[in-house]
Amino acid sequence: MREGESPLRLWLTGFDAPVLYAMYLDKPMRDHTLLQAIARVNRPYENEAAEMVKPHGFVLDFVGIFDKLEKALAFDSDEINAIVKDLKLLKVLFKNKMGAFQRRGDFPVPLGGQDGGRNAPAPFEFNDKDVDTLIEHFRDPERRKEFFKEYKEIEMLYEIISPDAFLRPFIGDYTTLSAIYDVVRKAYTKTVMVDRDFQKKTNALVQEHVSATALYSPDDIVAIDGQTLELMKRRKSGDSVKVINLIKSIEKAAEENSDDPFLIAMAERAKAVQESFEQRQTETAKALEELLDEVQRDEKRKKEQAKKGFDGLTFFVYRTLRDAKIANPETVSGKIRDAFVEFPNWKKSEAALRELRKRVTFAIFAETDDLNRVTGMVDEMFSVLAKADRV
Amino acid sequence: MKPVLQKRAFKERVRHWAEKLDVKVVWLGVRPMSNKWASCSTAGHLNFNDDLLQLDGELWDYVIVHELLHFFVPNHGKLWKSLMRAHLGDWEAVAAKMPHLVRQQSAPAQRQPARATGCPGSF
Repeated sequence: MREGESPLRLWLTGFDAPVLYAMYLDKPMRDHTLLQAIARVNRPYENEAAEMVKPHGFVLDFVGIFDKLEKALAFDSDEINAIVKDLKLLKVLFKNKMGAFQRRGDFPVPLGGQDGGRNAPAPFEFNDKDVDTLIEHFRDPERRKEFFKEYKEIEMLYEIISPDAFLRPFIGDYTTLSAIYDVVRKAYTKTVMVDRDFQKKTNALVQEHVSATALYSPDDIVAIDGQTLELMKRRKSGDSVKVINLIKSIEKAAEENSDDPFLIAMAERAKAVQESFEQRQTETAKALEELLDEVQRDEKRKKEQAKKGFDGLTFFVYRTLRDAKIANPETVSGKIRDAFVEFPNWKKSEAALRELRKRVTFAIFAETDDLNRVTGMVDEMFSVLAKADRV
Repeated sequence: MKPVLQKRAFKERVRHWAEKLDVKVVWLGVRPMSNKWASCSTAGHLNFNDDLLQLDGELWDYVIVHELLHFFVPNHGKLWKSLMRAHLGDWEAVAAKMPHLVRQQSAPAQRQPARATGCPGSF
């Protein structure tokens, strides 16, 4: 250890330092070193398994620092004042921004506002209807973007100011706002994100105060099968939530069965429905109807496919041929399937793709004379198949 | 406006903000710089690129407050951003209007826009 260097430095910091019960002060300390030392020993500790509880630490002061604690802790006052001034400014900003939200008439969920600054208004409890209203209100991507930006600014301020008694009257509304952000973001972001969405202190607040009140949250994924229709009918959640549920569920099903061209095509159509829903070109009820229709048609398709004993690819080709009224669709789709088996790496190799396309084209061409029509069909088929199996 | 007057107006603006933010400016310079808009040191030295004189007033404010805040906050984190917001409102929209600097000495083929926010204390 160098001369003049405090031995305290060695154990003052570090998260894994052993529990310290008592500290004997036998040398003068001041400012942050003193504060750190007191905080170090005064760290409460609890271990349920070992039935250990340490509510506070014990400092035995041989020097007499505690007689003049205030003097010993006199930090550079200019430094402190600058920080306090900045903090004041940020508090004003926070208050203004919260106030702007509280006064907004168009906001789908009312914020409580301040009640004399004494008690925080309770965070708003969401029910299914509220969640639906939120989803409906934030259909427009531009509106969402604006809200996200405003929220993130407030969140940043909260993270800096907290903990502070100043925040108390705002806690309820801030929690509500955070919960709204959570619902909207989860409903409209494409992929389910890792939990980096809330900043640390806000996250703790939300975990503590926001119960999962909404029974069916918008990111609730259902299986796409024979029961989907019944399940959706029985659910009490609003139509907007159902729309989001179904879109997410269809996307998930397509992701999990990326070798099924039907599901891939269905996910594409669901995406189109979502876009027109967000742009308000499709009414909510209509969007829901379209999606349920998709599910129903897909169920019918699955049954038919099982009856024929085809796999997804063969049945997809078969259906395309049959819809185009090509003769002997069973035989032709069988031939095409064989071609696909023969060129398994058609997605990676240009040559294999060319060869495969040729084989597919000729298989269909054997049943019809219209080459242009055949080329069109092949193009369409390959554009769907190219999207399948994206890994 | 004459360049001399413009420079005076700019320095006036810096002093105005410095007073508002309670920053002691030891040295204030406006001079040609090739790859950044401004720089500052904790000792109280401030230098600004003289190309700034050609820009709009709101961009002046953006650059000035940006630098002055670095006297308290040596990075571009949460605290810095929030303080920017407190003083300038929607500063991100203004920042987006800053023209990219082009290195003057390098050959045209290697020209690169200077980064608007680089290491703490300069940009």
